[in-house]
Amino acid sequence: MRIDTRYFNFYREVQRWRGQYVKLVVLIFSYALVCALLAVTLRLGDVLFKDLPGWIEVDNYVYSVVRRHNDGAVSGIEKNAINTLSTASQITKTSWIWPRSMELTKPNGQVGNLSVLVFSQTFFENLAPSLISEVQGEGIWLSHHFWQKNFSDHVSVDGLFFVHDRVEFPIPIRGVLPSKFDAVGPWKPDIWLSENYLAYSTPFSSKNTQLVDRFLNAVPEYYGIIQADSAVEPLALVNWLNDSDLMVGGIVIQEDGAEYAIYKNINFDPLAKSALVEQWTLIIILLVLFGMLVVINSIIIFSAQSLDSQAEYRLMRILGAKESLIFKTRFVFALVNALIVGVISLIFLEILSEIFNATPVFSSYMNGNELSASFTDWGAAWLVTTGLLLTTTFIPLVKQRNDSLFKRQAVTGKSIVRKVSEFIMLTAQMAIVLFAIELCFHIVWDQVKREQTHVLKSNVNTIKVNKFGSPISIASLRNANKNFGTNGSLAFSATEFTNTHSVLTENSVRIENNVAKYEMPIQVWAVSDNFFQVLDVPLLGLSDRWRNGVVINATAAKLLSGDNNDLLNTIGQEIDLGVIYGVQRIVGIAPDIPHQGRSAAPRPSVYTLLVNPVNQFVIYHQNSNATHSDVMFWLNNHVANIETERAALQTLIDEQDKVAYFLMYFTLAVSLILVGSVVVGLVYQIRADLNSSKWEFATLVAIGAPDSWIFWRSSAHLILAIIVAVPISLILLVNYQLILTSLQINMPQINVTLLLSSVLMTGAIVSWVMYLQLRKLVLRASFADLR
Amino acid sequence: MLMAPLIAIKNLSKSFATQAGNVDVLHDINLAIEDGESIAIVGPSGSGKSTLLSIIGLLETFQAGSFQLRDHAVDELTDRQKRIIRNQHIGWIFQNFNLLPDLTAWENVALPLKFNQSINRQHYFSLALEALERVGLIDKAKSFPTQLSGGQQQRVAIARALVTKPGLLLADEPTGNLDSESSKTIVDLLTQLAQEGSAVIVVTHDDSVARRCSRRLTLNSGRLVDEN
Ligand SMILES: Nc1ncnc2c1ncn2[C@@H]1O[C@H](COP(=O)(O)OP(=O)(O)OP(=O)(O)O)[C@@H](O)[C@H]1O
Ligand SMILES: [Mg+2]
Repeated sequence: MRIDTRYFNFYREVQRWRGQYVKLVVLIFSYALVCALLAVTLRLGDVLFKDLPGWIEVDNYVYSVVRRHNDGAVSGIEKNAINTLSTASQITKTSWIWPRSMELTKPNGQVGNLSVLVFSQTFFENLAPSLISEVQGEGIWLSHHFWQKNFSDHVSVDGLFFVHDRVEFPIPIRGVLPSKFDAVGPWKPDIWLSENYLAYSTPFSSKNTQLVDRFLNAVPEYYGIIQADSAVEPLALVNWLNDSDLMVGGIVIQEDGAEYAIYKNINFDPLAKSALVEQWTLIIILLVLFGMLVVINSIIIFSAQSLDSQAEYRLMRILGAKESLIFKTRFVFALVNALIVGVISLIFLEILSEIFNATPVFSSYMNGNELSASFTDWGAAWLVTTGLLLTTTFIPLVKQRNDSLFKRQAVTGKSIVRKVSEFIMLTAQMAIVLFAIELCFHIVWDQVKREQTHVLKSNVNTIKVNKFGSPISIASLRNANKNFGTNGSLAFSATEFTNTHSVLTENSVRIENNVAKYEMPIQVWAVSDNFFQVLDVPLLGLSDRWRNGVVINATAAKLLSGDNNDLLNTIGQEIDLGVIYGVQRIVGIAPDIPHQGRSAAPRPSVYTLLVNPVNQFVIYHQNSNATHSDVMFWLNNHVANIETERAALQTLIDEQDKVAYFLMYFTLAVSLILVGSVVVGLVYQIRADLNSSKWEFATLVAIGAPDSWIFWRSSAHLILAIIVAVPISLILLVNYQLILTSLQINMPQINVTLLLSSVLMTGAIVSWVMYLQLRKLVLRASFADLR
Repeated sequence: MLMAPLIAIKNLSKSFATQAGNVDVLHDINLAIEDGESIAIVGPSGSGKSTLLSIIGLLETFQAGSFQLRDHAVDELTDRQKRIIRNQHIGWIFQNFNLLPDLTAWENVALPLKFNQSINRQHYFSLALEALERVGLIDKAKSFPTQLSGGQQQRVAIARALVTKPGLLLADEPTGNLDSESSKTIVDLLTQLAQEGSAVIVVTHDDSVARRCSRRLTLNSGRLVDEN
């Protein structure tokens, strides 16, 4: 029978791994993970640093101009500033958008609060010239998603109108924009409105063109998009802008420490972007670490392999096997592995992309566009991985080839080069473990701190009640409290705790001697007077029972106090909360309650007294005062026909914090996998190392060395490796922090206690591993090991 | 008072517990050795020579019988006591020399002194050099084992074994990896040591080595078959 030698050799190569298939599988999966992570990272890099959003048709030198606040959030700038920028030498085109909400009467007669993107006349001409013939003149263009929801059954939107109470004539619908305009920056506008209608939205009569113009030039609501003929240095341009005279006669611009900021490409949400950049750097670092590990591990594994097959290899060469055949077989084997790695990495890539697309921070940045795998990125990643795989396969083989065929079998020491490289690998692995543990500690620490500082401490339960039929009065709800002894055990709100119902209130700019108002969204909760007591939240400025007026949160107070930093100043002021809630007096200030989760930036909020009868409401109670069954008993007896849903307040908030938790657990999981694989690798390495010098320990036992001395001799290099790894891991951590800081991302300060504990923990892990190995190998070294 | 014999072994048996069950290696060994004797242990491969040597050298335990080392009943010694006896009274020489590769010749030789707390640090150097002098390698004191030939390495190993002036020298095929010239030097050294009063036990396959010993023990399948 003739056996095809190629297959036979390949089969031999596979067989070589017998009993070690798990190792091979782990290796292949590791390479696949490295490949997938690399591909995602490359793709993310494109998205973050290169790609312009799909709705922009031009392809370079586009910049965003905004005002950046101390907390990193951005807001619009004055039209004045944009006009000034257009005179800068490199700038060729300027456009802007003004996102806002407006109350408009729809063509079907319904009044709705719509999200509107007002765009400059130049917007489409500059950025999407292919649409220039369709978006011309004045009026409203529907966004595609809004059209789909409300007008899709209309044959045409021609001749339909919106009505605004301050515009004396109806506003015509002029068309529907393509779906790529559904989301621009962080906004998802219902409609796009041409800029001429802004004249009707000022506090002044539209006929008073001089004041209207001044107002529109001064109000900081425009998000600028500028184009240049060559690359622009953002900082230089900001400085140039600051030096220019922006004063519109007599206008005082609010000073709140905010500064102009210019970003490359479209970036109107740098906070979301920096969160993404944080993920990106984290992935890069994990990738580098993981890649190092895989390479180290595979060199170790392949070296051990070739040691095993050394005899066979020598024999084959002595018997005259062609060297090229040996190399070719192994090359084919490595290539097949690389192909398998490629296929698995595609699966990993798909999973990773899914995870990213499911991450709200990411999708809000991507405007609902998905992170699609790019073939070039994956291809590049696969080539790099294959290169690594081939190199690690062949390094030991080439080394082996240089060994002499008739090597004298003698006990020789390891060469200095080998010793040093082994030590470097050991130290690198230790440093990686340390760094990963340090990172874990920091993340957990950060989270713990955040939870400690957050305002809701107590264990509050909520019951969401839906009452069918006639609404129930707040007075009869309050009666419930009499049933539970302690007055004020049950608090109520008309809207859900996490609801984001908001109304428009007014903020102001001062023009000459007039205070000009403009609209600002503020969230509203209608709650019972004991809401803050039940939630255990301290109030500023309200010592008595809360009988009238509204309570605002600290963020709202900050905004309303304007250039005056004394928050208490806002108490006693009036705030206009629109038709439903009317003008109200501010009577107290509450700290920011994390309605949208602890990781979300707090939004301005108002709490009004719940007075109207309700059909839907939420009961808040502390378990210590009234148990769930007490409350349910009362509800069933006094409020007929209901549907209830129970949840701990903490759970509701945690639900909002999913993203933060997701990120935290993701990082922790990856770090732990890292630590785990390093420890497993270390066990292999240390065991192999000790095994090869077992005769040394046996010799020492024979000449009467004490156990402690043998222990020391076998572990000194490990202890030294830890000592060297500590500063290296610290440098890694500091560098990581520097990268984050340069990207304006906050990371908690390096904490000495944390560092020490992670060092101790690593020390403990390594000592434990060491001890197990030593006990097995050294102290049981028998006479047989002497040879 | 008469001194007890150096080694008195009576009815000693040894087996190893393996996965396949107990393997009997030594049966009913009876043996007495006095100071200054030189003894060759010969026998086919696997007959238990090394095992017997390792029991005599206090590296292995035994199951039955008794082993009296001068005044000590070996099976009553603690691990610590055995270690100290190995360190101060027994010298080991191996087929593969077993020098620590990261230590120089004299450091290797000084090693047993280091484990003996009663020896002053200052004496290490002179005692080690003295031992190296003995084996004619004083000029190689600073060399590392890899820089020495096989015969030289074995002489360093002998220096390490005799540096503590032990009463008992154990050598397991000391010439197994050496050419005949080097072998002769090694055997000269060993017989010289026996003349000076140490008992020397050599396991060997080499008849020329065995012939130069005062006694020859033959092991066959774990039994001492004859003695002449
Ligand atoms: N640690 C051990 N566990 C199990 N069996 C062992 C052990 N050490 C030795 N043996 C067995 O004991 C028997 C004697 O071994 P020993 O090494 O003493 O033989 P030897 O006479 O020195 O042989 P050689 O001349 O080949 O060195 C052998 O069959 C061996 O397999
Ligand atoms: Mg033997």
